[in-house]
Amino acid sequence: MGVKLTREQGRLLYLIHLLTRTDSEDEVVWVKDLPLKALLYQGIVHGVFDWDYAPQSVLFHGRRKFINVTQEGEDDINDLREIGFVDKLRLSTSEHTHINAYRLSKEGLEAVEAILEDDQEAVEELIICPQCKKARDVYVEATEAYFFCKDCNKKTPIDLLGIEDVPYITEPFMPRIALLEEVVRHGD
Amino acid sequence: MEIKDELEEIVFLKNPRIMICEWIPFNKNQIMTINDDLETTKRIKSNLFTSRIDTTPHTATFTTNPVFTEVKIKDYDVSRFVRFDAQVFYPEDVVQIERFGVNIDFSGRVIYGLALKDIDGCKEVQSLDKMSRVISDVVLDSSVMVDTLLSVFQKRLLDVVFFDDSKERDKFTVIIGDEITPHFDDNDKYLDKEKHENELNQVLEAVHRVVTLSPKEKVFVGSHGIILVSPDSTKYEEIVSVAAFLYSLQILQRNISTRMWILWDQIRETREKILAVSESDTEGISHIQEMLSQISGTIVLLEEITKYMSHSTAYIRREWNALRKKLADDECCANLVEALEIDKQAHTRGEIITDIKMGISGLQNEISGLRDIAGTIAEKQMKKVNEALQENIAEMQEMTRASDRTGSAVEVLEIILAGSISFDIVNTFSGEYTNEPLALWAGEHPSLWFLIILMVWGVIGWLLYRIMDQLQAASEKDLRITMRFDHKVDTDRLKAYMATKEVLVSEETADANTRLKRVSWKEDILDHEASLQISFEAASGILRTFSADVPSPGVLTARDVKGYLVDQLKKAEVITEDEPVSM
Repeated sequence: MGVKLTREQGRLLYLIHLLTRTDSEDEVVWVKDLPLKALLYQGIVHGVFDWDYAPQSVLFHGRRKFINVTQEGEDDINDLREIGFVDKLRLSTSEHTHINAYRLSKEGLEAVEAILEDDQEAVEELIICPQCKKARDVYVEATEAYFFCKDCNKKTPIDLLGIEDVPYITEPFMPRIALLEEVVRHGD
Repeated sequence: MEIKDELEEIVFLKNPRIMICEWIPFNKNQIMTINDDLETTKRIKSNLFTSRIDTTPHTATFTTNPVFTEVKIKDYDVSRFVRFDAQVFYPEDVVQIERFGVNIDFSGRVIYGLALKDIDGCKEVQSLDKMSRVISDVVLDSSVMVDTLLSVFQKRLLDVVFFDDSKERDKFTVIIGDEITPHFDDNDKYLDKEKHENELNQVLEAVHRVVTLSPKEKVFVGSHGIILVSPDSTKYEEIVSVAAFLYSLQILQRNISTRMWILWDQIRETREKILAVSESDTEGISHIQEMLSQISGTIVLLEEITKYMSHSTAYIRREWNALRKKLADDECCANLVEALEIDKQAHTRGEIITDIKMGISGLQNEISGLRDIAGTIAEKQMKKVNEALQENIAEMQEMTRASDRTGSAVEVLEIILAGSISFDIVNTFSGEYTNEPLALWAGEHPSLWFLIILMVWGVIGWLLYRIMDQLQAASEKDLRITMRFDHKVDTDRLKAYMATKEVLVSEETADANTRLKRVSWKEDILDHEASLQISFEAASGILRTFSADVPSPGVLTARDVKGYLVDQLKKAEVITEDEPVSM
């Protein structure tokens, strides 16, 4: 198609491909939004993606939680959708909420062939178990996100909910409010 | 915890001030209570507050962890508003001196305002990257701080909307800065779908539009916040305060809407369960009725919130109408009002309240319908239980009659048996009437001989009756005394009392709501061995029953046993002298 992807977009495309590829012709595999967010965050921490992340309040298993979200990553997912490489599916959950899920489109599957080997290896290292060298599953539960290697029976936490503190000093600030001045002057 | 990533800081604000805004159901009565709690009318207008509850009112001292909030009152009206400075002292991994101004008014508008003086060593100009981390921290800490001031009712309302996890509820963020770097005259450069927009999204979630108010003034409007850039922002503060109310209410309304859709899902599940429940499954229908009650309780609280919202929007409309007249001639203010879509927002909030009311009405009707269906099934089940009960009673009556008949037959048999034995005895003595002198005497005095036989019969019958009577007495039940308490006791003392016993049986029965524990042991009551059993709810500490089985009835009286059991509990200080006991 002649679309030039950035290094991060290529790696993101390959990551979605790794998570959703299947040999079955009857089944289609999708990767859910939250596990993908967890992987993107883990990818930033391990230098796979050169993006930033910041805390953002999201619906997390039906409740509001602050998690580490990369806006650049979200933006690149949208870019890949815009050029038709990634399909998005919206579905209801048993927790009475809606989630998004992604997979590669036909064009995306063609484009993934062109991803450089170095980029493929960097992404594979992210999800492959360091001990048995097999792909790990990603789980995002109500209180934690983690990799799980079935062969080693080992959980490795992903600190998706760990919001980092920065040192800061603040002073009180009180804006003017019209109603209160009105009430003080004239009563109700 | 330090930042694991090297931040690429792109957008900066000079002298940033942050307003974290939320809408909490408030009325004048609750403002009066808060003013009382904060002791606003007292001479010293400063106190420390904690969410800790004094559970030992009788003790002289108590200990607490160093998590508290210092409050200094700035301004108040007894029933309309309170404004104070708060400094939170929560344990953090890094140095954070967190002081903010708090405005709470009877419209439910709660604003936590803070001026950022330093982030990670940077004094005047701060990046949005680092500000996003401060904002998340303040959003959480402000929830903890304000929780110490809210009534149980208000907390319950928030928990209903935020699924019992209101601490991390989302709030609306207003950031005000003197200047923005980089400053673009062309606002589209901020909405570049790349690094500038991504940076803005970190604090605004999804930036919708950027509007220029004057050459040096801009406003960025996002889904969860706004950024106002102005070297002289004071004149905009009143407008921003109105907008903060409306957008905060919008966030709450979105959450209510989500809650209502979830209620519809829960109702659908309940309906499926009702239709699937078997008519003999009494446990199932009772569980369904419990689910319906819970959903109904949530709907009632949502309805309460709606009333508060209606009152609040009326107050804000009044504020807005007065403000609009005041700012009519200022073009920059008009631009800000247009950019923030305040008129549209005010109108929409009112419309959404009407929609929520309609939704609640729909939910109530649906629940009422399901209650009827569940009630009908329960009635059918009750009818069946009644029929089964009647059948059982009839069967039991028949069994009793059969037993009576058997008893009478046994008594007749006893008489016949006694007669048979007595004749056998007489026969033995008379040698089947061949023993000469006795047989001869019997032949000569047949009436007397018959009388003797009858007397022997009577004696044997009396002996058999006595033996049967004693056997029956031996099979009677033990003396059993059960005392019912049904009130909360000191569980630590109860456990200490139990620890002194040699427990023979310990069993626990749990259902959805309770966990009943039964413990049995043997103990001498006034030198007579008895089995004692105590039952209590482990989680709530409610003592249910204390009972004793005495295998020697007639030796101890019920009064003796009851007195002994009560003494035991009083000595162990499980119950006090004046606590009621029923038998």
